[in-house]
Amino acid sequence: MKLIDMVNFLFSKNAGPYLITFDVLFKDDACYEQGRRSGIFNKETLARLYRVPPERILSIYEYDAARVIKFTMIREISSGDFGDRTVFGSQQWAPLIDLEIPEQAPAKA
Amino acid sequence: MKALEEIRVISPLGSLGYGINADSLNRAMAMRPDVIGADSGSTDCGPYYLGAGAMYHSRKAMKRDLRLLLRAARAVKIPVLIGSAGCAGARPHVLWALEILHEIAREDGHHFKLAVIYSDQDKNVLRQALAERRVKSFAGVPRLTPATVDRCCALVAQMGTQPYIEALDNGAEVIVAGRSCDSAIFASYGLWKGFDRALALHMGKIIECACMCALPPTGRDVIMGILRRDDFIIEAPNPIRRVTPGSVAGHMVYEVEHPYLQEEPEGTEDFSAVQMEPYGERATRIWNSRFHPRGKPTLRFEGAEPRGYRSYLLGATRDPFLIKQLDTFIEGCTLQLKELEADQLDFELDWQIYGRDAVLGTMEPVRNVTPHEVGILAQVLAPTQERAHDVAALLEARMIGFAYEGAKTRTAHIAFPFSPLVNDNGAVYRFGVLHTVELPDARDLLRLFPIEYSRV
Repeated sequence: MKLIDMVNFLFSKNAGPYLITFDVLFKDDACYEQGRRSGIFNKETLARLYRVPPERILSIYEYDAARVIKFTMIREISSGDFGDRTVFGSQQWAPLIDLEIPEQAPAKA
Repeated sequence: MKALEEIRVISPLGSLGYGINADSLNRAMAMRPDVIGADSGSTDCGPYYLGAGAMYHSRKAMKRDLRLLLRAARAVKIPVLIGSAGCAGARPHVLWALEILHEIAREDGHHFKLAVIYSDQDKNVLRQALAERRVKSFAGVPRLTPATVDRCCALVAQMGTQPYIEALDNGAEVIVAGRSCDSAIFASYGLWKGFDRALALHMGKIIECACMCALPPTGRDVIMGILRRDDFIIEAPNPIRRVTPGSVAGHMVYEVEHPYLQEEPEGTEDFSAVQMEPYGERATRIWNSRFHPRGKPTLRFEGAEPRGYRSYLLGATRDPFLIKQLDTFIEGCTLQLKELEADQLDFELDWQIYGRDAVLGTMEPVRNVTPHEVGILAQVLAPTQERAHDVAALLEARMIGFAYEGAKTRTAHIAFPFSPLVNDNGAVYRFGVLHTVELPDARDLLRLFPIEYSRV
């Protein structure tokens, strides 16, 4: 299942001028559970998707009350500095749209 | 006087100056609010406004919003608390908001006791904190050095609730404050009236962006928070919106790194055990917010550091032969420019290709797609505006005439929409200071933010 079919909201936004935070708000408990179980929201996968070193992914949190999985990325260039592309941290979420969310976490080797 | 059972706080919109929904404000006023809070600022729009002392909002829109708030509040004599005035909240921004406020008061015949709270900080406060190792960096922010402090041209700290409470205590009916913690603008009245700190701050955090916590979400519509002794209620006066436990929870994680821990000057707000339930058809009741006081209070400092001046070229190409070799084109133009300017390499260049990877840059995973048309933004950063302009002018001449393999045009490879071709964009800044400073004395939470009182 693609992530875009499992969410109510999916977006990126500044969390202060040096961080961009991504909110994945799942549309129901089943989708949220599948998102969590899939194990796909981990630093390595997200870093690979965004072609950044894993250290740039600062944190990943789940918050049941909001059925949200959110992760935060350290910016390469802070908001509004020369070379910045997105003052508000917006529009960075599109690569997540087609992310395949497996039914189950991949078996541990 | 008997103890208050509840206080009702209005947050009219996410950023004062964006355009208040007047119908919703009327509905909110019919719900008998005790206070109006209005957040007017953020670091969100970037460091330019703080650095240049420039305004983010439209003056006309700010005047309209302020007029609506003053009219509503003065009619029933409730206080208005405006925080992070003029967006960046430094002295020029506060003075700008004040000028508009005085203009409205004269035109509409309002009279009130005014408190103005400044958030500008002396660099020596920061230098001393650095020397005493009381400065901490947020994640992702470079360590602060004395050199960065020296280069900063504007410095503010985010005030907490103390200056607001002090001003209310002294009878202020309208407060115009500089840079403020969002939640403080909406929590201070409740704290002043003796309500629970965790609940008041949590409610402030939820309503600071107005109806962003409602469905459908928007920062452009009025929200009301009703703070009670053991819980609080969030309700949208506009009947087209609903506030649900899910919409509130979704907003609690908005624009923050941590979903349930929020740093405030005196401690940490903890929403991990928060409980919520629907309250009637369109509202939500919330309780069990917690607050963990910190041993030493901290303040967040924000400072803008000048980086130089920018000029830019905006153009586009529809030429498939050029689009195939854009990187060669960019490298070639850059090289030619640097050869011509070899005696004065005092500038930086930046290229953003719209239609290819302008939004995500190197993070863009979609590669190997050939667009039929691309936009080219070429920027120059140089020590002066004249120098940036000069370099950009020379770059334009390279771009228009660059000879590439397989070209079907002899010149004019780029469609530029503007004359003048070179656009001078002014100064560029960065948030060189975005650090927390531990305060040796809790009284600094008040002392660092001078308050001036006057009668309007």
